[in-house]
Amino acid sequence: MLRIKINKNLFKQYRFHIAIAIIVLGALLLPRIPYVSLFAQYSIGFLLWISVIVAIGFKGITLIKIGVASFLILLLLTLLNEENLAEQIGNATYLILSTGIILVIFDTLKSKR
Amino acid sequence: MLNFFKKYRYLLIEIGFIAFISLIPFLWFKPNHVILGLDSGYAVDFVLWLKQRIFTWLPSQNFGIDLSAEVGVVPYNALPAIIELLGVAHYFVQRVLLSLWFFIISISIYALTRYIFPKKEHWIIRLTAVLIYVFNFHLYSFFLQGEQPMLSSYVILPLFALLLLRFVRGKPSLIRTAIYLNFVYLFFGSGGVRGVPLIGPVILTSFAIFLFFFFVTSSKNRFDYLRKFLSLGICSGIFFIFFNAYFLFPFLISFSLQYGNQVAIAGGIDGAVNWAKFISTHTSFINLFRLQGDNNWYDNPYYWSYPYFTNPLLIVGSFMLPILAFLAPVFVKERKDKIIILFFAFLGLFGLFLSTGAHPPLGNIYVFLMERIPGFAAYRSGYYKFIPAVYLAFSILIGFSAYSIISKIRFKKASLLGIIFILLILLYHFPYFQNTNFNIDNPFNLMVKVPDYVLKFAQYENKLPDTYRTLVVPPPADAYNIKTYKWGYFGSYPIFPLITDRGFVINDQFVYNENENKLITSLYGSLQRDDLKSFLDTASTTNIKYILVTSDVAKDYFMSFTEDPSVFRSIINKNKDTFRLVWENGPWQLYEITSINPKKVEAFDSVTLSKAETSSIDSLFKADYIPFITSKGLPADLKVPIRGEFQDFSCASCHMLEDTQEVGITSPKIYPTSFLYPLKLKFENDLKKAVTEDEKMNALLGLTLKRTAELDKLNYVSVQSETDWLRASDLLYSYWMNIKILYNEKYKNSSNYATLRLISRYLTLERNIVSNIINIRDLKKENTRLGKSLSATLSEIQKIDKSLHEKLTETDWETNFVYDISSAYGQIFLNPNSLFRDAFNKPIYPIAYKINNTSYNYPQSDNKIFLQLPEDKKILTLTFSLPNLFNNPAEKTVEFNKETKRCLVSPIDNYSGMKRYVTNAKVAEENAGFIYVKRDYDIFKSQKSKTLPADFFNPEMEVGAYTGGTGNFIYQFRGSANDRKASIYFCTDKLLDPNVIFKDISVTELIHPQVYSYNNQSELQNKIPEITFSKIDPTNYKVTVKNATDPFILSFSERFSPLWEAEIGGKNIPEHFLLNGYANGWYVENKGTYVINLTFKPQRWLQIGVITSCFTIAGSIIYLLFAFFNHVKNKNK
Repeated sequence: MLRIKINKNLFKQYRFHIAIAIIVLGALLLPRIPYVSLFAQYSIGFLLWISVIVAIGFKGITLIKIGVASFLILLLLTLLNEENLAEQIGNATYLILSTGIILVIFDTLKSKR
Repeated sequence: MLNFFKKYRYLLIEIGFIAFISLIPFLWFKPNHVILGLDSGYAVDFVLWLKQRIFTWLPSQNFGIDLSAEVGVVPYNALPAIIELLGVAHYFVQRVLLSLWFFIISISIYALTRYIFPKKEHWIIRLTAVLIYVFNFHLYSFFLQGEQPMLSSYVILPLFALLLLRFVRGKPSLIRTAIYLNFVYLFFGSGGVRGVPLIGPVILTSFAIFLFFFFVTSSKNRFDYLRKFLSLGICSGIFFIFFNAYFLFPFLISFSLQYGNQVAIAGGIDGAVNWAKFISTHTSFINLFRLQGDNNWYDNPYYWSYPYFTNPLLIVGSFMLPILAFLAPVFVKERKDKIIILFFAFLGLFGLFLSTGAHPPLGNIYVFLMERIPGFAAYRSGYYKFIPAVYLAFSILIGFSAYSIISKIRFKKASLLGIIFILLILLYHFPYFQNTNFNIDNPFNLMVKVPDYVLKFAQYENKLPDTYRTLVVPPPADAYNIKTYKWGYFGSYPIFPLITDRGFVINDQFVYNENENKLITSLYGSLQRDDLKSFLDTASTTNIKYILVTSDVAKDYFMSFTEDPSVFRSIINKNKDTFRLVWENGPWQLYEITSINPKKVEAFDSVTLSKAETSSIDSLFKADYIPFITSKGLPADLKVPIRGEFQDFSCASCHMLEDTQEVGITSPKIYPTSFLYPLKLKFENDLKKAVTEDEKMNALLGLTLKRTAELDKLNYVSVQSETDWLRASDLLYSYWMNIKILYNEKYKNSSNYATLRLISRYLTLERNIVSNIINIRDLKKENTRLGKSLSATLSEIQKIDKSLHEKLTETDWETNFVYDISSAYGQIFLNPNSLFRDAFNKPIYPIAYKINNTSYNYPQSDNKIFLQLPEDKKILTLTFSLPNLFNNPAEKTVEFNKETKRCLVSPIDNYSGMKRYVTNAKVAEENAGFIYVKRDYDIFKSQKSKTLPADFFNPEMEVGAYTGGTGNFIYQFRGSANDRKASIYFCTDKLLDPNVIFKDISVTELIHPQVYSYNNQSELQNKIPEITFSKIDPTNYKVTVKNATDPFILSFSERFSPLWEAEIGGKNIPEHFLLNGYANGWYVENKGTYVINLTFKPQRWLQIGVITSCFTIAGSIIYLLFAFFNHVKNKNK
């Protein structure tokens, strides 16, 4: 019987590359699939993002700190009237913060068990 | 006692502080001013307003409004009335009321925070949470309008969160939690059915609590958790029905009627989506994080919010809010606190997502939810409906962060830091301490001093009989308009129901009803034209006995154009025999119409049966045709005696005068080269579903457009596989062949101009695209199968085009009008109101008419066309000779912004901004000229319009003299309601001569003549009984019928609703129908003397509901007391 052994260490070593590959593949494939509902597009997009974050090994609390720090960048951009750029970074901040909160929630649940 | 104070001193200090800040609304009011207008929902006379609202029928607005769905709002209307009845002076009522709301909102969030953070040293969390929650700009905008349902939604939110969190933690019991939740909803439910959108954050928070703690619960306990929550849901649901029976019962009884109305008002799902996009213009995450994003804030330098965009300190302050909020999860250490903090962070982010509404990048999901989830469209204003949940989350999170930071600072007087932090929060929200923020667009204000003449008028009006209506003139130019008065009133709601309970009719579309709107427009139109007979006939039928002239309207205000009061005043003064001045004070005059005596309840022997569209309703309001019933929606077995039949005929050729909507192509998702293409073709089944000729033609045109859109890609890519594209091309050819057959059989000789024009539009677009493909790819030369197929298609299109062009240009459509009259019998009439009127206001009748192909001269000054119609009548053509309104053009040199032009200029004779015009000219040189329409109008000076110069050359209508190669220039235009006059400019470059470039210039009014037929049937000899009536209340009338010997028709001039019932001795009269386009009619066959009871059904259900609610509340209180005493007893044991 053929058994494929996955080298876990190898996976760990290349997780960053795998994550990037998934996100690039997803970005390339998603718009090509006709009639994929928006829900599916966003859900897959969000899952890809989460998988990248987890693969890289970011902790939820670090993400929240990054999110909070990005408010300072947003403040600076707003004072400089760079509204469009600020809006884009604001969107990214939302994504970072929500990922952070979700990861912290999962961490908390895990530690409870 | 002293011990009590000692024990609870910290609690009392905190509540004392909250009570103190709750006095802030007292700072907002100026002496003798009240909040009134926009969406405030406040009346001038609180008590009278409440008295109207305890009934499910509101007779004071136009022809009556069904309030069955509004009962939930009654408690909020009751509050100001109760405060006034308790002896508070009128001008202090709103101050007391808003302070009360301020206090209740603060206490509700305080209760939640105290439950989560009960320790003494947590005071900074509690007070910060209270301040962030109550000093918020979303809430402030509703405080400025005193909008109580929204204020109450801010109370219910933390209380629901508190009760559910307590329930999650295992106390109190399920039944008690259900009762508590329902008590909270009972008092702060935001207005029953109408308040459902407002409790969006409550639903969101409840769902978030359920979801969050489901995951937090260990997996072995999850089933119990689910069961517990499900039981709470069911139990609360049952209690909900009984607690809220007072508004649920009347609502449910009228649900099907209400739903249709509401969807129509919102403009359907599409309307709701467009609104959501508009409201979400500024709801980006960066704005929402800073608790901003309100659409009113932006692009408005006059608004109180402006400093928040310009002042660097305030900008820094705004960023401190999210920074502090999201630092809370970083600071939190204790496990118990961590769960709560994470929950509120989760809630905040969830709330932020929904508050963005339709704003990118996630806006599509919101639109998707609106389109797919039934009822979600009610949350079309995402920001306004969901941001309170974000405020709730942020208030707790910021409070916790503030506490954590202050605790970390090694400073002896930590309390001082806390106080400084609180002061900073108050300072950041400085608009709360100003009294100038009620301004909408000076002089329009939400805080107004109601003039004496308005109050005196209300006093006078309240003494008049309450069975008549008063018509308000001048009318707002548009039924959707804001109503404005020079003394500052600005509201979408008319002022009259706010000051009196007597009936008023005004051009206002509070409840969507096309018939009623046409009827009101017709009333104003006939008075404005001085067509007294038509006006009196209509007024008499609609129970109008008085006319109120309000000369203080802000006539030329750009947001609320109103017709000129002087026009109405002069007509009324001219007819002194008909209109008698009965009251006058300042700019308001009340006239009685002396020549009519309308009756609210009346008897008739027979009716006219109308088979007309709504557009002809003004033709029907003639003494000869009244009363009338409309065939649409009429019960099949109705026995009502018909004395004549009225029918109207739509103008088939008028489609040629409508503005055309361009047809365009959109890029398809699947091209013929895709492996999914056969699947796509398989799902195209519009043609199979088509039944009528028009449906078939529409389906075919739709299919040709799809294929053309696919083939259009050939203009940009190289063909790799001709076979794939050939399939689309062959299909296109076959569709056009089918169109040709259908066109030749059914359309070529018909008068279906609507479809003919549609074919022409598709044809032009597709001909150009196909011809482009052939030329660009040089397919003719290549002699490929694809080239042959496309050329054959083009040839078929051109054949149809030729025939169609001949048909569509066979006559001048501005003066010739075609009608299909094959179903007509009796006499044929023209509605003079639909014709062009000369300078003396006389209608211009046709010069000739044609029936089938036989021409006749038109008998001048007569609206009858033909006395005896030929049997084979089919097509009627009216020919008018309309005057050219472009007279005596003068040549002028006009300085435009950067260039000088030579123009031929003429004023448009007898111009009105409400009419449509068309201009024609022969143009010698393509694109050599420009045409401008210069409108002269007054502007009402307000803060916003002050910046516009009053008199300027601003050609808002400008068009190039493009003729499409025909040499004939045609352009349609329409002005605005406040236009006084207009001129038209035909201009060329200064080096050219406009007299050479433009020839045969004409401007004519676009008319839409209405043609109808009336067939007089047998005259009945039925005797009408004597009828008297008395009004018991707005939902109940007693009608006494004396000596009825024959069946008769009972008319009741309140707006038709199937919920109005007529009973004789407890038995319903079954034959109930729409009479005169708006009122109720019954066919009564009983003979003798008897009483008919007219009742509005939901009122009975309101009474049953109130009793049910009272019993439920009493039962619940007894249960809670019993549980409490049991608890005390067990404790003492």
